[in-house]
Amino acid sequence: MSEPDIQALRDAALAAIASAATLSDLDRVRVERTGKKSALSGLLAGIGKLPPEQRGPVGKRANEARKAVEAALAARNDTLDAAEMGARLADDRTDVTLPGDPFPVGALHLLTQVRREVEDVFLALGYQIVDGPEVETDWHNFTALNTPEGHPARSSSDTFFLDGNPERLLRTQTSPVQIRTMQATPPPLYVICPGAVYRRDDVDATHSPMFHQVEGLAVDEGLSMAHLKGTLTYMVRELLGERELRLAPHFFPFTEPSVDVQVSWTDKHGRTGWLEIAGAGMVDPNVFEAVGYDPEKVTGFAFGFGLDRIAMIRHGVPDLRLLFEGDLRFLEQFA
Amino acid sequence: MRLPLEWLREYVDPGLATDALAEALIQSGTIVEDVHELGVSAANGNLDNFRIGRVVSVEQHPNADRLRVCQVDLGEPQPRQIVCGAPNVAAGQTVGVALPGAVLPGNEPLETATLRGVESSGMILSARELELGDDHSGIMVLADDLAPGASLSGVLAISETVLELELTSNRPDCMAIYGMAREVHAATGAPLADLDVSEPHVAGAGTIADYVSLTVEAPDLCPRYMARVLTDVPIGPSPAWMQARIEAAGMRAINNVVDITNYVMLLTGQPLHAFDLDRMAGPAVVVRRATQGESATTLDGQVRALDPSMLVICDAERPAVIAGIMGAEDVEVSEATTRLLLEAATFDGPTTLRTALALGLRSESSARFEKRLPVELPARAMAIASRLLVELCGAKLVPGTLDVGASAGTSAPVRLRHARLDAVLGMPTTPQRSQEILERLDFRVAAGVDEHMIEAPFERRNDVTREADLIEEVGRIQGFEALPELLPAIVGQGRRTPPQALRDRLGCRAADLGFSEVVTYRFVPEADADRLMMAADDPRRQVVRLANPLSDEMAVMRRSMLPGLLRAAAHNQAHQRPSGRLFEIGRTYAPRGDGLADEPEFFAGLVFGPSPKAHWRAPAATTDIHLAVGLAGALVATAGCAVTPHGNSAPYFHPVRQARLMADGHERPIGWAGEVHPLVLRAFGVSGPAAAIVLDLGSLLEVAPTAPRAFVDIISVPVATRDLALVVDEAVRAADLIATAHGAGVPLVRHVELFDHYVGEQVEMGTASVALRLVLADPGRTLTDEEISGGVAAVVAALTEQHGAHLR
Repeated sequence: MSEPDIQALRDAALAAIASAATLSDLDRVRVERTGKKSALSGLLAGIGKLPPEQRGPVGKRANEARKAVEAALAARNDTLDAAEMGARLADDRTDVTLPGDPFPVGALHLLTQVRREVEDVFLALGYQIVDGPEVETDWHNFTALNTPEGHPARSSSDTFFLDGNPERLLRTQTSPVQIRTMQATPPPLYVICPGAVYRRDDVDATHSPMFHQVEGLAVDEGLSMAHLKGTLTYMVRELLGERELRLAPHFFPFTEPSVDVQVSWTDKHGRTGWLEIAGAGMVDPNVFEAVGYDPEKVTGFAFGFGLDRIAMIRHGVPDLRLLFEGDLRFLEQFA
Repeated sequence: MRLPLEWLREYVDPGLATDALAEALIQSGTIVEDVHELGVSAANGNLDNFRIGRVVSVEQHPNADRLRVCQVDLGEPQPRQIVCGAPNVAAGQTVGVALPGAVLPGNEPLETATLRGVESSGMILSARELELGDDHSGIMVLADDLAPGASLSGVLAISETVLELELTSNRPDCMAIYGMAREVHAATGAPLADLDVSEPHVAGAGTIADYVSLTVEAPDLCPRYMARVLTDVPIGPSPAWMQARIEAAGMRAINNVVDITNYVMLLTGQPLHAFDLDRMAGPAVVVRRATQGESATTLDGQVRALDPSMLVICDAERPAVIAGIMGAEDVEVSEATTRLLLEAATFDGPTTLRTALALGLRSESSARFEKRLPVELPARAMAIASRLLVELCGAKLVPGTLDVGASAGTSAPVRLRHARLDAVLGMPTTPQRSQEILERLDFRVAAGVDEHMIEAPFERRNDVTREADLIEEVGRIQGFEALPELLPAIVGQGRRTPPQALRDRLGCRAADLGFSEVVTYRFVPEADADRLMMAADDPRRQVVRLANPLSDEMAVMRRSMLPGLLRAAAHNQAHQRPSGRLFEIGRTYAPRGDGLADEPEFFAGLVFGPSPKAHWRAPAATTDIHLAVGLAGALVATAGCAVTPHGNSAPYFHPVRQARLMADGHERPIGWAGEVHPLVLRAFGVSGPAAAIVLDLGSLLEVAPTAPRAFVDIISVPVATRDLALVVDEAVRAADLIATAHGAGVPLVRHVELFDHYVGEQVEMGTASVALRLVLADPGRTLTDEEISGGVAAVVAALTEQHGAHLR
């Protein structure tokens, strides 16, 4: 068989492959063109009978032809296979707009979210977070904080006392944690204490016998009201955005000078004014003396605010009771 | 405290608009809670329409029995004709008149009107129409010496602005108009007029000793007691201007004597009391402790039981006044009174507060005494009140004053170092400036180069005793506007402690698992222990109990986290949420010998309600113990831990379907999981089923790994997996099978998983079919077939030996 004959065989096979329209067509072509009875197989089988000088060139041609045909078969197979799979997939029917599989996610309480933000603000400044007992001694909650005997806050109309022990109470502020921290740690000290506090208020939209405070305390050499103002300004901007801050003088037994911390605020009616958000001041020397710090060596500032109040202001929650009811319609809004 | 600005301006007038004045007060430490506008509007020249008039004549209205037709001189060429319905109008009276165009509070502008055929061009005013008081019985009759046509607002505060102040407990001196005048003076620099404390002319007969004697038997509770007698007191209304001021300050005008005592209290901060001398039993005043069983009927008609902790002012027989709080009916000033005993005294603050609280009776007077008043103040108030009684009422002051106790206290000088002032405030203040501020506040300043020596005025003696107090005074008057903003340079880095970090991680994981966080009241009803079916001797019935709870529902501190979650679940079920997942992280409170409490922290989660088919495809998960155990496993994994469920017997869980969650090698339970007992659910009003998880955070922290975990190479080597199908007695517990397989497979069996468990028709009665998957590997090398089959055989042998298990 001459070289042109081989070429013709090869061309005919490739043409048949190209014209196969389905995988089963292609299978038939494969048998016709490369099966044992095919002309190409016959040719290859007959090579041994050729005169020796023809065996080389003809064999080479024939092998090339076989490889080309097999490659064409494989390529055509891939093409037809992909087309048939595509047609099968395209035939599928489903509504992709159906709800996806449910993975219900719960919510951290709004108070937790705000507390963590506050903590992160102060952690970034280098403060530590401390906590202490909620069932407290009268001394830690009042006496050490320079609250005189007979002060209205010390009366049973304002403070929860324990049955049978008038020296024990539910802390009315997180400030006793300051006292405990100062007793346990020498200065310098930079801490915040978030936690639950208790006051004997009836439950209504703005009062709760249990609520949450964050208290901050910084004691070091050379601290002044200017550091207090800088710290509060930083905190307010981080938590409530760009706002004006002002310090209005006030009175607390355990700080002196004492200030009310107010931020500029626009209410939902568009009226602007000042909103009290915290109490603060320079730690009263009597407090340092109560815990064994030397008020001539160190100064300090303290501030405290209601987490509940910050959360309500920031998120527009109208009623404090919502925070304590456990109503999922409320909780899930802050997921 | 209500501060009428008209009254304030008698002593200090900074010439500021109300807003600016309020701002100046706020910036210097007085909280202005509200601004009340009383009386007629001052806008648009309205005040010009209110004039003084003299009634020239009064005639009966021809067509109306109740109306009179008055001719009123308003300083104009002709009198005006005004129709008036008041019964008390009479010729010759000086009255207030609103002219046409005037706007009265809550009304349209007045117009010239024709009333039953008679023209009326104006209105003769009553006190109530001007919001000066409640008196609507007739028109307001003014003093005769006022000129007709003059502006009414010139003599009467018909347009008044009142600031509502919130005062702090350290400033009783501000519970006085004059005290606030001093604050305004200090804050604004406007000049402060002196208080007129001149004594009146003495005209009464005899001396005071002829009228009454005074004995103070309890000087500890009454450091000073002053008394005077006035005779020929004509009881009647006080002048309109005084009534207007008293009402604007929030008290009620009563009669001239009572009004003057209240007026002087409002002005000076010193409460006064007037007794009808003729109604006292005997000419003696005794200041003593009440006796047990004694009582007094106070002015409000209530019988008050007294005891020896209380101080009373008695006549010869009985208590006439509960000291500093309220007088008794018996000796009250009445229409018939002609002779007065006037008291100005200092009573002990804490005693006054305790007595007022015990009697449930707080008055303007007690609110001042309870904050401790200086002994100098009674003399000041006594002088002013005496003078007003003489000058305004024509009473005769009997010569002499009974005065027992200290007439002056001492104020120790306090040092103010200039350097200290600057260091605390964080900005420089010159010595001249601090001196100026303190002197404006009435402090005596001995100026120095390095420091001032300061003496406080007696009103501030209790409040300003230390350098820190002086720094506060200078700071607050100077204001904090100009203060720079600095951040402290803190050495070291803030980070959460392990418990804090764990608490936060657990919360996040719980939320990821579908739980929403609640915050519930930590005080709970004591009956919660019964609702949780705690045994009578259960130690968790020992609770921290409040002495003064708001209610029985908030009586004790919680010992368990579950009631709060169950109540929240009930709340949700009552509001169209039949099912859900809730959690709380918080403390419980166990009483301790020292009166404080152990306050361990817990995580508690509750899955409540039936699982409705809430999704078109998802199968409903079953709310049961196995769900709870699975959730618990996912939760403790946040701490890098694993727990194994063991049998448990808590009263509030289903007796069988509950587990204690234990960590390997740790005796204290990490937590508990279980289906909540149906009777507990019923007690809390929750529709079941419900399953709960409680984790003891302290215990979890003990087992949480702290060291960084080392990598184990089970990645680069093949891992062999072998499944065992076993038949065991139904009573054999899964956790025991797993533990045995683990133990026997050491070290090659790295993981054992129970992936199938079947009890039913396909297996013999009383047995269970269990499938375990063993994962075998040795880090760093490939196991041989012999090693693998040897390891599996050891596990099977142990399971057979210890649990009677055999391969199917």
